[in-house]
Amino acid sequence: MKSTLIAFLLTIGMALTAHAQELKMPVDLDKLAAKASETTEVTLNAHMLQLAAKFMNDDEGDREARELVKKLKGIYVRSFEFDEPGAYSPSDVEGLRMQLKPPMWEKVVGVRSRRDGENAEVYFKSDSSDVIQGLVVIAADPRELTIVHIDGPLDPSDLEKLGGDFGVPRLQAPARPKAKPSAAGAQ
Amino acid sequence: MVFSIALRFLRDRAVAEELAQDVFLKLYRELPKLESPEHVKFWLRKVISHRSMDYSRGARVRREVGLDDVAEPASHWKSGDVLLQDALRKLVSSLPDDARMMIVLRYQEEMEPQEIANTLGIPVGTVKSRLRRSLVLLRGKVQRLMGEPAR
Amino acid sequence: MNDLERQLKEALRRSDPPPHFAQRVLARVAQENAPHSPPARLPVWRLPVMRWAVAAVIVLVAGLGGVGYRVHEQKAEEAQALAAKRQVMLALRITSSKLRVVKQKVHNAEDAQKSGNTL
Repeated sequence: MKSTLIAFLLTIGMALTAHAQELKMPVDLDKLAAKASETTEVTLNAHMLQLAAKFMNDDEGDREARELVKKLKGIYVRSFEFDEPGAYSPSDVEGLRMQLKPPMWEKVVGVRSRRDGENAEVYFKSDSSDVIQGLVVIAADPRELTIVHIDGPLDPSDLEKLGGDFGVPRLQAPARPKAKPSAAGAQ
Repeated sequence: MVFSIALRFLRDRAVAEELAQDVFLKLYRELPKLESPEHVKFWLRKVISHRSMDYSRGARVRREVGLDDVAEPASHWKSGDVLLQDALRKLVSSLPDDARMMIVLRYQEEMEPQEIANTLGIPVGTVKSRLRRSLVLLRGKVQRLMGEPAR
Repeated sequence: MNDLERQLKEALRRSDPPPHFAQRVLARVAQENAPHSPPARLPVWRLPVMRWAVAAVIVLVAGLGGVGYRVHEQKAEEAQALAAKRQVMLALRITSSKLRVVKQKVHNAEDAQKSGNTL
């Protein structure tokens, strides 16, 4: 009886741990698609990424992308454009933000511009090896909301090469900026 | 084949699996009456089609998906795109039950109108006209979605 | 067959049943047979040989499909891979552009701070 109880608790514990490690896109986001004038949704799991990698050739752009995606576990993008400002509320992404907490996730950049209402946050997932294990970007302005989640090991130099200039390694926080950006160490 | 017909028709994996299991269980009982592999195939398609439509009517699982419920595509959507195909599946799911099943049998199972008519127990003329009407309807919706003519 | 019909064929292509589907069906078949006391003479569909016949049909029909279907699957996989590649490139472009915006904003803030310090 006792061993059954222990096994049960272990199972529950393992299930909860597994759940805690997964990042879930909030369900509310799907409702935004109904209000959006343009929606982009990309959901690629490890299998799809491996499949895509097979069809990337040796051209420079393809090769770099292939080296990157081969290592990844998933790429998820949700992007919504709205005709009118204010069609979504900050609470729509709150469910996601709640999951992006230390020690697993670290907010490395937060930019908030009161003038044009643009907000952007960049989060890194890291482990004991100090390798970036995931990246989340939440970019929002009054008419557009974009969420990117790249799951898997990322080398900042790969990102920099691939996007022309991702600029990830050089995102250093100014101490007291005027436009209220905040970054690593300034959260 | 069996699971896939139910899945494409109902767009619900759990229900599709349940129905497919039921059909195979029924096959187990009916097998002595079936005369050849072709007969088995015909029987499976027929039973899963009817089961799926009965389920749809009974449980009303089919959600009416209007064009407005399908996300507008971004300009990068191209023919063969997975997103377009997802939109197309949603548009198919907005068709009435019988037309939807005909489309699934025609384009998933690649069945001729006569075979569809035999499977669903309706006249072949009805199958042909429903398929034609469904294609016209879908073409119109795709045109609106893509902003370009779908040939 | 026109474009729309080709797209429909691709969108509605067959989907594999979930893993262990055939085993689950066979388990249900076994379950159905289990509780009854054996009749004096088994009906033909309950003969062991019929169970194997059903198992074979299920595996063939549900799991494997035909050789022709495999060719179709291969083509479908190719199309899927190309679509996945386009999606990867799109996702990376979006990521890149958003990170560039973030970087630009941080630089603007840095510049603003520097000019504030100079004054």
